[in-house]
Amino acid sequence: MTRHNNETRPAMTIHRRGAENTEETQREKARLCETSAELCASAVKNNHGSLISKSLIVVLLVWLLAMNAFAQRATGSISGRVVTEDGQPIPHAKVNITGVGGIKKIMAGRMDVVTDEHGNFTADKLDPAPYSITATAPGYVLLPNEKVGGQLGAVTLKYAHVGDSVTIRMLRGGVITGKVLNASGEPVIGINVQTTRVRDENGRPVNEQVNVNDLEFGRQTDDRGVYRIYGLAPGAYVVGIGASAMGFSLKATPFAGRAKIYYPSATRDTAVEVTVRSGEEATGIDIRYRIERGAAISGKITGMPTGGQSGMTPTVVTLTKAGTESLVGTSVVLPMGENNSYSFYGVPNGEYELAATKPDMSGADTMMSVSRKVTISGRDLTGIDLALLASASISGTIKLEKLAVSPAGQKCESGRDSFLEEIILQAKADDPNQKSYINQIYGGLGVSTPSDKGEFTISSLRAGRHFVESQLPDEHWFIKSVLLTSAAANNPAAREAGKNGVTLKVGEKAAGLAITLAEGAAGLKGKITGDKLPSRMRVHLLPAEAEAKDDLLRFAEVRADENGAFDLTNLAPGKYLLVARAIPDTESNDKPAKPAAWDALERAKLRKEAEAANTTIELKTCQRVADFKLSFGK
Amino acid sequence: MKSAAKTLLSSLLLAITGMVMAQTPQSKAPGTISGRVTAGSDPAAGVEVMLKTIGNPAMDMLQTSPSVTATTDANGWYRISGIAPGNYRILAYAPAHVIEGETNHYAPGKTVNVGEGENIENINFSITRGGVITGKVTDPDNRSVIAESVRAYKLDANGKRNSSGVPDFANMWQTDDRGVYRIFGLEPGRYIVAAGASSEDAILRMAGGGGTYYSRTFYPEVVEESQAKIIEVTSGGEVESIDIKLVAASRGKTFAATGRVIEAETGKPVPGVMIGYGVTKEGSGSFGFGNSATNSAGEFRLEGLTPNTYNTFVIGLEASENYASQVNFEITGSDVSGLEIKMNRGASISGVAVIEGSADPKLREKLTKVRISAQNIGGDDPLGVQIDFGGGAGQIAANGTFKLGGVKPGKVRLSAMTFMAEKGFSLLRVEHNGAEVKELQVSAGERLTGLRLVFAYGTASIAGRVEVRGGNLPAGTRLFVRARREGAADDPFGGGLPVQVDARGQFLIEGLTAGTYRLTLGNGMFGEGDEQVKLPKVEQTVSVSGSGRQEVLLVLDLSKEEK
Repeated sequence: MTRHNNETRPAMTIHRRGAENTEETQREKARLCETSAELCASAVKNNHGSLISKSLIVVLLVWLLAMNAFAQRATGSISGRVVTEDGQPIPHAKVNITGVGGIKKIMAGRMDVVTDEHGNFTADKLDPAPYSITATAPGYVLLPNEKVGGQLGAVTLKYAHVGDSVTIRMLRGGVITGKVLNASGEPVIGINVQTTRVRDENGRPVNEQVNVNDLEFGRQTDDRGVYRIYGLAPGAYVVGIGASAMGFSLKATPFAGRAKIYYPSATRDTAVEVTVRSGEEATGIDIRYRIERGAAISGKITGMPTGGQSGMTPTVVTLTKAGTESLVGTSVVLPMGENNSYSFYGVPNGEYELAATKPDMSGADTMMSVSRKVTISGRDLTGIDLALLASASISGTIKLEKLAVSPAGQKCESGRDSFLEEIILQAKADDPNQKSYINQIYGGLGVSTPSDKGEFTISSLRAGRHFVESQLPDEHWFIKSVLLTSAAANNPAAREAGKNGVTLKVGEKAAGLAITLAEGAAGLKGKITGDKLPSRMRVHLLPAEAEAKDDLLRFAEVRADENGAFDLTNLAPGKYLLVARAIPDTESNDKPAKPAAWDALERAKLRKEAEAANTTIELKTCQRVADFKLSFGK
Repeated sequence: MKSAAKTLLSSLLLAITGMVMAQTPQSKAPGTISGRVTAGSDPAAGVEVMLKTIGNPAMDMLQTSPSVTATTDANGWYRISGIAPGNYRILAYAPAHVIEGETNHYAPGKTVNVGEGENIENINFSITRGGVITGKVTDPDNRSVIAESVRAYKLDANGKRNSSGVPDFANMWQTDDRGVYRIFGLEPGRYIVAAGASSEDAILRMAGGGGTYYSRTFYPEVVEESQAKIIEVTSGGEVESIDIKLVAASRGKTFAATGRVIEAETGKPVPGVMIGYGVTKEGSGSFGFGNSATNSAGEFRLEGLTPNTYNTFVIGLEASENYASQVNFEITGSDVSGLEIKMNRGASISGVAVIEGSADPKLREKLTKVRISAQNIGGDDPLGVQIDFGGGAGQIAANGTFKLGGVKPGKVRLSAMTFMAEKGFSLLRVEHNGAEVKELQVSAGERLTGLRLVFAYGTASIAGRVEVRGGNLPAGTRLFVRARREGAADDPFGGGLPVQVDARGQFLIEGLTAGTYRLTLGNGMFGEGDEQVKLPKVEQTVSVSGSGRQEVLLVLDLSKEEK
């Protein structure tokens, strides 16, 4: 197991209100007095007693409360504010709070909590869990990177927990407006206009995704052929016109089945980008419509389960540009009707990948096909069948080893109680071709949050080697060991899951993964220094001890921000080597390279570099290093 | 993640509406449809005419498959050839125009049954340029209101607006980021225009939303509909500056209802179920979902509720042996708390589905698409069926077995949604322990086994013609024919869905098993109560045998009194 640390994202702020559970704590204390009258009485009596017995009682109380922290699933609230970039409140914004790891967990959040006149919101009675939070307000858009939880390109964002106060900042969206005319100069009415953000505000390419908001009202041209798309995040866009982005519409139009035409009158590849700035209008983005049939791709879904547990969930076929994360379209196949066929229409020439996924509500019985590469060159493709295969899973338990004695003079106190349910476990495939779009559609396949007893099942996995990564809610926790206890006795390598990952066969349900957490983690914040720093850098931390050179749990890596600042958390105490590397240009912002520690050769290469640079640090239990200077290119 | 949930939910909604793939029989001589589009006495050139296959009506509403199109020439003529025999809809695409006789926004156009090698002419359309109403919506402080819904209501000869009660998504308009709206394609006539929320607008609410809202304000600045200023719209005319100022008094607050879900027997909380709600007030089709699943204490919260009367329903995210009691509540001027929804132990019903006289594995596989449901008879629950997204309840497995869980105790009738599978299946009878049963009696916790659902598969058809005598049908009237097999299981879904009579008065009912059928002619898709105009009752009995095709003539005599 390796850890991917959170990149520091200054835009979004989460404030830990340590003891937000005060009410629960009080109740807990009252309960304690009921069940243990003697302890309670002695606590009161000792008010005037000796200092020693008094502190003993406090320690006992704290210990009992800590013991109870996992047993009691006290619910709590997440509150916060939605404000403009300059701090003005945004009233009536909709705040969306969702859980992680399967539809049930997602739904255990809170959709559409509305801010009051002062931009404040509260969602109460939430179970302990990691939550991701976004907000919408008409005409406004989230500040770039202003998102809580989830994935943002290469970066795993911090999730919010019960007791947190969250500030979300939004800015006025930009506008793209223009006219759609046909070859004879007449307006094209009721055609769907779809904007796709292709670059961020700094001109860096971003993942292209079907914009679900394009389903909403006002995304069609009016009787004059005029369209106006507002609430756009700053960046560069291509503007396409055609059938509804979702493959269906409430009104019959002749546009379905034709290729999208892009501004000014182009195919996707020759589309002219339109730059959008916050609060500004890009006008005169007139598009000349023409009928381009494009090609159709069709086939059947085979291996579709009949009856039984398959439920009513539809199968989703995704069409992506080959070798990228850019989603071109989705086709929904329902478990009804005559044949299980899917189709895409109006597909321009190019190379694509197709894959089918049939999730189920529990997440346990998701079926997936392997991805199929296709090339379109002007002709329809038929018979591109996709075979659904059972998915694999990894289950086990995660437990926490408490620190026996707090080391004298070292600060290692939590501002709040953390819960095992707040941990996010993700099985990451050791396969560079694995795509994350399906996770984006279904909110996290291959992701799990443990139960209050630490039991977990990470399901919906393809065959192959996986590493289990974690996001820990408590900065004092680190992963001590990961063992596959069910591995055969004659296969010690398989048992060392922390080192070698878990290799799964198609449909295999691997059980008995034992993850041990320990308290007393260290943290390391710092800055990369040097002349002419590359714009994108990553900091690698590796164990200095020779005997730990292949202990993947001791490796960590994190992308530094634009200023070279980095933040590594949840580190096991010990001696480390540190090295900063430039991120190669070939690596996209959306898809990070797999961690260097996963591969023995890469690991050795990294060690050589780190030993040459010879920057070492010893991190003690609970130690927080705040301003480490790491020189680059030494 | 919001969009993820949204996508998934809409996919699920798609799934429950059901779908039947278009059937395109192979190797039969194709047909042709042609006609003309005119605007008044002039030809309408450059109009796209679309041909769409008729499938499941719910799915057709969502317009999933692309259409075959033809564009009218300089003289307004169009022609579509190479059409495989079957049932189609043909539509003129003219969104800024009013198309004569177009009354149904969900299934616009004319239906045409194309026979083998048939050359169908004169499927004509008459279009006129619609009117436009445009303006701006502002709040009491003169700030423009973004993404506010705006509606134009047409008034009839008596100055009343017609409301069909059917959710009219097609007539929903919104203001843009400047508060500007533009409604086009309006029939000439007198209109009133309103902005803001109305409880009569049937809407599906995916989540809470709300906080504060503006209730409906009519142009120019009135809450009372009777004081709304009437706007005259002419064909091709544009009425500008219809600016609506929302009234401070119409600013309302929405409320929340909270409660918990518990097991009736043990009092234990039920986590992880979603709560839906419906508005019980007559004339409103609104329903929605709570904005989360119940937490570990079984607690739920429904938000964005406007003053009204409601009832609850439970959406299980996985298979359950329980059914939920319905709770009614009313929102007046404050939040409602302490609602308690009890999950009661239901019965389970299981058995096997068979096809009479066939052991063909291919047919049996097709049968797995049919969904079985249990409906309570004479209960107080109008829905009567469990909404259950998980566990495959009601599905027929490959080996023919099925199981229904969480059935509410009492008198129960089993029915089969045969329309979800390929044409040709019908439920003949339900057997229990070898004897035919019309209804079942189940008690709480009972596990009733040994049911046998006997299906028939047939390929016979009835080809009919409807002759209208004694007058003319009002423009835009749609006729449907429903075939019910005599002696068939008493099943609301039995005999499949009604078929629409086409533009030439023809209809074709396929996939029938041998037997005697009672044909009923009506103008409501869902039978009585759904009609737009009352028509005299027309019924006729027809017998079909084997895989034959039986022809029939239905006479609709408008001079007769309605019954």
